[in-house]
Amino acid sequence: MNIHRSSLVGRFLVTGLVAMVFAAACTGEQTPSGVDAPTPGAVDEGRSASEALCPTAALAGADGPVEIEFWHAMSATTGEVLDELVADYNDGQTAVQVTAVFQGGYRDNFNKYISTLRSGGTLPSMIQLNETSMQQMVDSQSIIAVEHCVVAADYDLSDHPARLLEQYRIGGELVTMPFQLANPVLFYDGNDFVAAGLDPDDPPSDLGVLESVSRALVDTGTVPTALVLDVDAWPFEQWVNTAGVALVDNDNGRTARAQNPGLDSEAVGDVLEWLDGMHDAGLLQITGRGGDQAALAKFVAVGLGTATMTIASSASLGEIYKQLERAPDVDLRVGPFPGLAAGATAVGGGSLYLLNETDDAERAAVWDFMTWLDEPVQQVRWSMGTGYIPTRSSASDDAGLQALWVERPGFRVAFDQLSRPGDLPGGGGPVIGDHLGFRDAIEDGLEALYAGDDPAEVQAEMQSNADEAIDDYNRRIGE
Amino acid sequence: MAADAKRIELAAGSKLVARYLLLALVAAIVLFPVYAAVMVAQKSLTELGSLDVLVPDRIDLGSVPTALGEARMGRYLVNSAVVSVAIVIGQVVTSVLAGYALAFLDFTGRRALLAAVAASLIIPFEVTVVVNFETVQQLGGVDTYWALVLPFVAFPLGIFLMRQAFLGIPRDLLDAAVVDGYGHLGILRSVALPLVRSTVAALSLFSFLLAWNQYLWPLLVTNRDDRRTVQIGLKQLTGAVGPDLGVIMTATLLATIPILVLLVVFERQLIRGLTAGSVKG
Repeated sequence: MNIHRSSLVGRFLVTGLVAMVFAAACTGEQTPSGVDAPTPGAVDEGRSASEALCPTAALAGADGPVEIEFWHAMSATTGEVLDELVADYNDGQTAVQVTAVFQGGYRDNFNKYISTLRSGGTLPSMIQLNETSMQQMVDSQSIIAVEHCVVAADYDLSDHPARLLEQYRIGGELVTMPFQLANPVLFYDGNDFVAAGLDPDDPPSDLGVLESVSRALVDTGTVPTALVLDVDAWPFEQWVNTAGVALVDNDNGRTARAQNPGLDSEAVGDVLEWLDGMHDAGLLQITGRGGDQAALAKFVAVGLGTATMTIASSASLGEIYKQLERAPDVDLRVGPFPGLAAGATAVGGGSLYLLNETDDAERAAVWDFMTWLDEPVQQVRWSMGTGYIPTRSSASDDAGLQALWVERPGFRVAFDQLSRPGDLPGGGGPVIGDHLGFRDAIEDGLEALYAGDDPAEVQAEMQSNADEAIDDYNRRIGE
Repeated sequence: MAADAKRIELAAGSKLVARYLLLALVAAIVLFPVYAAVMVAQKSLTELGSLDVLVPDRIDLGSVPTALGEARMGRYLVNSAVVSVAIVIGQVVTSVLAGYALAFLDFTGRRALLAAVAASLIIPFEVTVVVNFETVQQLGGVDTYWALVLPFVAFPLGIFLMRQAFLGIPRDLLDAAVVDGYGHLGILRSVALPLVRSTVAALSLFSFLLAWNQYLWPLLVTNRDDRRTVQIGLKQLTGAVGPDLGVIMTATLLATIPILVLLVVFERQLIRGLTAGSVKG
């Protein structure tokens, strides 16, 4: 009840406050993305400008341990693993002391951050937010792009998969530090596949096959409905991504600020038609729209045997294995995300922002902590405890992770999915000021679709609602 | 004649049975989620996949210490109790005093003040939250108990409710008190308050409920774990999935107990309080 209420409040705060912050902070020249950036010039000049913004060596000259506050949105098991990591970091060195503060979900965390920024309160030095906040964080002008730290520290990014770096770059500049990556994957019950005469080692690779597999599952009487989904815009966006089609203009908002949604594309129409067909044929059941509860309900449906397959974030892996592996009737398997086409998916999940109301020592401390979290050892631990995809390619060499991948191959699927061929427009998923408003437009449309509205009408409505959300935000920001 | 009377009696009887059956059905529907929560709280995750989870085969309080200790619900419950009680006291005091003044005192601007109170009823909390947060920050209120309480000490609905209740007191009683030499405080204490006891009880319960269920404001003004309240604790426990539904359910039930107890204790006053003033035009 409270959670829902807070998300309503969230919309109000999100749309209103960023604009106010932007108006208040608007000074000087901006790059197209709005991040403080060194003026183009000689490499040395760029480097010294970066060093000024992110003096990564400043920790050495600091007097006593530098205290930094880190606001995060990790609850339940992921919250526990994060707390352990923070404790280990604090115990392992004396220069930096991190205080991790849970601030509700991503939306709550963002709202609180923007409210505190707006009211001149005490801000953290570092914050964890997901990909939907990237444009707004840039617009808030309260961050230092981690690109400056990378340049200042000569930080080697060659071990990071290109797709994940591209996701967090705007205009070629790494805005925020990747930390926890997730991708949608297919969860399914192998026993049902066997019962329906299907090969459990061969999960459906795209929507066409997913539909025929669903038919086989239902026609053989194995399950009442084959696929269970909630009303969620994230996989919807990913279906469009796999077709290599932009969700907003200006290369998914990456070469310039997004001005118009691209929900009128053929790809979007195809996805809607497909969902409508699946739903009408009784192959697809919907658990509703409501975040955590609706997401949990999908797995309950698979666990109870009322559906065989669902699509969810790879980040749920740790929990799902814990819950379903002990259910004797379910042979839980994980397959790659069945796309509209065979193209790439965009990386999702939380990343870490360096905030600019910090002194030199604090910036250096944040950078030290960020890079510690980015080390393969920590990434492996994080991945094994939660199901998030490690940020480092070399993590796959880790013996522990390899053992886990043998024991539970599902943990590997999302990691491999990162190297799926295909180009995303602008290199990554969409960057939209009011991304949540954009997603609301999609989810409103999906609800109407499942209530029986015509897919073509739904698509037109989605496009116009998304357009309104983008226009509204851009107008407030003065763009 | 006698047969007619009997028929009427029978008809009345079956009507009564039907009414109780309907009430029982509604009660069952309302109570089912609570029952399910109690059952889930005692079961392990492996039992969650089937309807057996609803069968009361044992009493297992194993997740209570986990919820109170590891999940820190104990601390959150204490914080919520302190904050909620403080808010209730504040709201009752301000509502009674303001309600009395608006009902009986004759002063310039009374009507305007009443209109202002009524108007503020329709301003949602969300509109004032940013300004309040700004104020509290500037006063250095982050991570303090007073910041959790202060913005809620005056409650327009409470003022309105108390004013209506006071207006329901017969004028003669008040006149008699004046003749007996009572001042306003004396009248309030000895005459008016005892007569509106049920409204005060209803107001207390209502404001406790609102204070107890707060999420956004406590999240905004606290960063330290030892100042946080029960709803934030619940949110912290629940991820996209898990970790342990038993612990989550136990924590949720623990968070519900104070409200349930208050509801049972104050049920009669609550109903009387909510209907009080509704007859008076």
